[in-house]
Amino acid sequence: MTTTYTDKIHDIALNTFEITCYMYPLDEWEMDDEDIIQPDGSVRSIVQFDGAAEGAMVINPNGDLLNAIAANMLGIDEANEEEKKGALCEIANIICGNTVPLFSRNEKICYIRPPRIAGENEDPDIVFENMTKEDVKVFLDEGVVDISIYYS
Amino acid sequence: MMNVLIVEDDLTMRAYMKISLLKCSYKIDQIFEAKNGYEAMAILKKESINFIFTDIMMPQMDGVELMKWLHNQPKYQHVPVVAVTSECGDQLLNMLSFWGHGYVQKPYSMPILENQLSNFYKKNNDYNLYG
Repeated sequence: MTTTYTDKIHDIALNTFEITCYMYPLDEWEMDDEDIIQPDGSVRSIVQFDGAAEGAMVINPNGDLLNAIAANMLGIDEANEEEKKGALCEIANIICGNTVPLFSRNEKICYIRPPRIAGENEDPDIVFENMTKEDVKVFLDEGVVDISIYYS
Repeated sequence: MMNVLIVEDDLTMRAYMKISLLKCSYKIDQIFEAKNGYEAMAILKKESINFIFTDIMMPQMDGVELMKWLHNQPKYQHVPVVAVTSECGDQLLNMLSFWGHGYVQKPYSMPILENQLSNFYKKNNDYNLYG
């Protein structure tokens, strides 16, 4: 994957969060804020894909963002656990679905599998250890999300 | 009368689409919700549905199977269907085009949904004028 692809994933993620969750990127000067709580990996969504390329995308938001994704999509103040996980999976599905065409080549396309919540002890770095990994961090006005893509 | 059916397995995405449709400028009488193609078939048999938004990737019976079923039912093959999907490969687009259905790529905003309904209203008015 080239840097251009990483930039594209960042743009796809920003577009998805803006349109679907009404969230906006933080200004650059706000990104060094030490008060920003980094994602702890407690709730992560994984979307696997195969076809033109094989791999997976992992979306790991911090706690504030996890709640805000569901709450903003549903127009409520506080989402329950099921709503939070469902919303995160749908966001992961959208970001991955818009990303995999980047891998299409020679008329081969990628097929994405249903998104799921990663198990507590599941380590994608081990599961996909033979694959290339790229990381993207997205800063939004409602929280931070780490996006990792594994591909071969 | 305008009754819309949303076929989407994810609870949050169903609610998001419902909220978006309720905000749009077209009068929608009722919005029905189904979690998969089977539930959609059951609702179609009971209710008068004028427009369907369907997800593609769903458990049990996905959006493509639902569209195939609709296409083979004389009673329902005229119902406009818009596929809502995050993945728009050429194969899917060719199939939707062949069946005369539209598609919306996720992420979508309310004006995008509104535009699909607008096409439906426009066609209906054409039928009223010239039919």
